[in-house]
Amino acid sequence: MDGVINVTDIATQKFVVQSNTLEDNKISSNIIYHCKSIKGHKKEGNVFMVAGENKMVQILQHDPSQKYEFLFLES
Amino acid sequence: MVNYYNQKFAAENSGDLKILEIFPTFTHRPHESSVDAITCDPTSDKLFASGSHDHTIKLWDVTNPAKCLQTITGNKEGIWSLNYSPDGKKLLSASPEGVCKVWDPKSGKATAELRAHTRKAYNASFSSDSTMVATCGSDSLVCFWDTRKPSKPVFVNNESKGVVLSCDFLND
Repeated sequence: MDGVINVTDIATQKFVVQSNTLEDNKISSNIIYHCKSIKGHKKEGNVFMVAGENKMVQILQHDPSQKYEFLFLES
Repeated sequence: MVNYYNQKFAAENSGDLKILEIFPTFTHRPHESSVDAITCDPTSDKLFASGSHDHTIKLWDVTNPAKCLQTITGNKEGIWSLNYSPDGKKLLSASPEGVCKVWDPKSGKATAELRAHTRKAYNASFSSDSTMVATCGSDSLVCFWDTRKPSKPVFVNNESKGVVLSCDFLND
């Protein structure tokens, strides 16, 4: 399963988010090579970046109260 | 690969190390093989480290990039990931030999070896308070470690259905 971004809850030791970046795209593969938390972003909270096979760097936000999706901020 | 930190970009490609600053770009070949990892010291606007397929980690000062501050050896295979701890006092590496190591950047000595992955380790990151480390690899595992008790993981998440190439801690 290429192109999946997961969030693990350290307290429960289980995934709380499994986001497949292929679901809304026509591409068949989007390997995520890098996933990096961003400190000090203008949007506070769990802001992070992913870079993948689609040649894009995307900045996303995870809200723990919205467990099943990420908020897309910019690319 | 591109790292971003404090308005500074650093990139590497096929053995070349490039420093893309606000001012001049500097390129040289400090390693004997490809540069596969690079990271900036978060407590400094000058210091950074590079990791290579030549099995070494090199420490640098961006103001004098022609002179390597230190070369860290002791890895059996290449360095695929490097990350400083938030306080800049530790350096964390991941290697295809499956071992992630915590280094003291001042002494160049390994202070801990994190051994749990049964295949290649792709990436390793510190938590914001440096007390935890997450590692991931081609065995599809994400291992969470207490840096004060590095003999075994605190827990291992095995829910991934494929290899895990990268991991990091969210801000909260």
